[in-house]
Amino acid sequence: MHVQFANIVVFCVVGALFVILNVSVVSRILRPTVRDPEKYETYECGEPAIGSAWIRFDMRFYTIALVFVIFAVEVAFMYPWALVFKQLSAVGPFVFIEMVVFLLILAVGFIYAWAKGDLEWVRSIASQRGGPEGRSGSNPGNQTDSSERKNAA
Amino acid sequence: MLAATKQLDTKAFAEFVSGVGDSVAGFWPEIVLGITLCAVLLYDLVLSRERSKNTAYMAFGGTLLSLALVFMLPSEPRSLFSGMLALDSFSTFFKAVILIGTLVTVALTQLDKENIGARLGEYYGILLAAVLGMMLMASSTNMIMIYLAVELASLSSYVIVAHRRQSRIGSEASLKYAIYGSVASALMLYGISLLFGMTGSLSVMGLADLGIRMATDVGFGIAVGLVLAGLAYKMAAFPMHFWVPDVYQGAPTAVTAFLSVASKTAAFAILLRFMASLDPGSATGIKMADGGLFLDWTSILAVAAAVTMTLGNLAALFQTNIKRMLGYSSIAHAGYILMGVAALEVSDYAGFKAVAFYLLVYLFTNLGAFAVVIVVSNQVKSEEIEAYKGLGTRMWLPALLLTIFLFSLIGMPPTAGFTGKFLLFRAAIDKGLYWLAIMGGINTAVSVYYYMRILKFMYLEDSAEKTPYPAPCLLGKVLTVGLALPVLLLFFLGAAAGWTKNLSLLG
Repeated sequence: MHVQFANIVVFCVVGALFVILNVSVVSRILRPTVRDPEKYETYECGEPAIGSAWIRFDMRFYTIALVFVIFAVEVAFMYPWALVFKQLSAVGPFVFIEMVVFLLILAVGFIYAWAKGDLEWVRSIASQRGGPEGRSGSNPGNQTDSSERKNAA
Repeated sequence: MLAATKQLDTKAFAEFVSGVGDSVAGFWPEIVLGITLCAVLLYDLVLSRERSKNTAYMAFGGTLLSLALVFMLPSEPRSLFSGMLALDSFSTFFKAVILIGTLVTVALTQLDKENIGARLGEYYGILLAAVLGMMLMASSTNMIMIYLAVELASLSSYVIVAHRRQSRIGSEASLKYAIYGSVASALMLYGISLLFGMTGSLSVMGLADLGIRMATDVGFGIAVGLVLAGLAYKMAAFPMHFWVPDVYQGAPTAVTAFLSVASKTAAFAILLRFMASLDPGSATGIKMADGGLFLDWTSILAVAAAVTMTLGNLAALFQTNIKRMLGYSSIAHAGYILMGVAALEVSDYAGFKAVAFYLLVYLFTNLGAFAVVIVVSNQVKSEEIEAYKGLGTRMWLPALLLTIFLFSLIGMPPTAGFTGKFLLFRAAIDKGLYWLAIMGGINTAVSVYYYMRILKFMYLEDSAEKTPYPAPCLLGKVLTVGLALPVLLLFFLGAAAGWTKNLSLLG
């Protein structure tokens, strides 16, 4: 009775077989065998991996990633808008105004990140050691850490 | 692709645009709040932080304007932004409650300024973002809109809880809040996606038909249960209550006060709207295959209410920190309010009236209690209950006012807490939930112990030191007295109960 699910079963089986065959059989036959220590590195791009990945990352990576996401989403919204802009702008300025409002709100966030110095990758050591109130919110993670370390010491 | 774009119906789009134009007229409170939010952030950025008091005025003014606009909203119920939001007296009431809570929170923050620390501009910006999310929660009728609103309110709350950057306990609270919160919101989103899969519609109003059609389906029960779990997190109800004590203790007191009333109010607004469309009064619920009722929503909510209040009250008995105690008391109150939701009867709105009125009363009572906690800790420098020894003679006005607020939390006349609890119990009894009303009664009796313990410390026990503390500052006096007045007046003003009677729900 569940004939319509047969497609899915076949799909799953074929998919699993495809992966298993390719990874374990086909690649074994086709690949060249080069016994080179560099082949056993985590990243084969010339950058030697040092130490474990379980370390504390600089707060700035996350900030930059967040700022990037904001702009990625912005562009994702603007593509469909640009596609229909010409036809729909015949109705009135609404289409334009709507996007301007959206961009203005994003701009507030952008200006905020910029003015707080989150876009500068290289910063003076002084601003990082300025203590909790040294520079307004320029790098919350590091400041808290450094001040807590100071307290502990 | 090009052919598809050529066929765009510009006429339908013109109608859509005019619909948006009409919707904006009912959206001004939120727009004003959004503009204030951006203005506060930019002002704080451009001008120096020494003028952080100005950001408080800006936040206060923007919220006040928003509140005035809420009262000027057109009264006839209608749908905004093609079914995303509802403009009805129900949402207007809850928006007003949230905004009043925000006004008091801004004032409380100024009172608690030394404790909260610098960067008040950012603090107010985040606070207003949370308020915006909660106002959207109060009016959303689309499930994605509900999710977005809950997330906006939640994410802002996580940040603002950790506003005291140097406070380890605050960071711990924020981290716990964020991790538990993301689990809760994931559960809720999963529930929403299941509901969407069943109906193909995201409208909350569409649930009513679905509830009847799919009532035999266990999957439907699971989906609704998941959404309810996400909401239970925001209103601090069992089984999603465990974040409350840590967060309430770790957050700045003004933020605790804000979360305990505004967040709860907004979550109950969604819950009421959600349950009203499921219509628990008409014996819907998870049915068995033969059509017999396995579990109906009323009993599920009633059990959740009973467990929530019992848990909150029992845990509150052993607390030594007043903020933690008020946290458990807030769980218990979520239980009492859930009692009203369990007694929800769409036909006569008795449960609605009781819940709405209780939330209004709870707003003033709990904000008042936290205001006194701030006033006391400004002088005594402690939030332990032990520190309240002999306060009746050393700080007579805050002690007296705290007595009023605690009486209202217990539900004793002549305070509004009595009227609120009376309405909730009557709603439960009218519905035939006698066992729930008895549970509520027993719980109230238990709660008397830990509220009265504070009174005992304040009036019956003497501290070593006898000299009175200096009188609280003007803002402290105005705030605490100003919050005590409605707590007393709402008891005498039967009219207020009549005001909430006319709440109507869109759809």
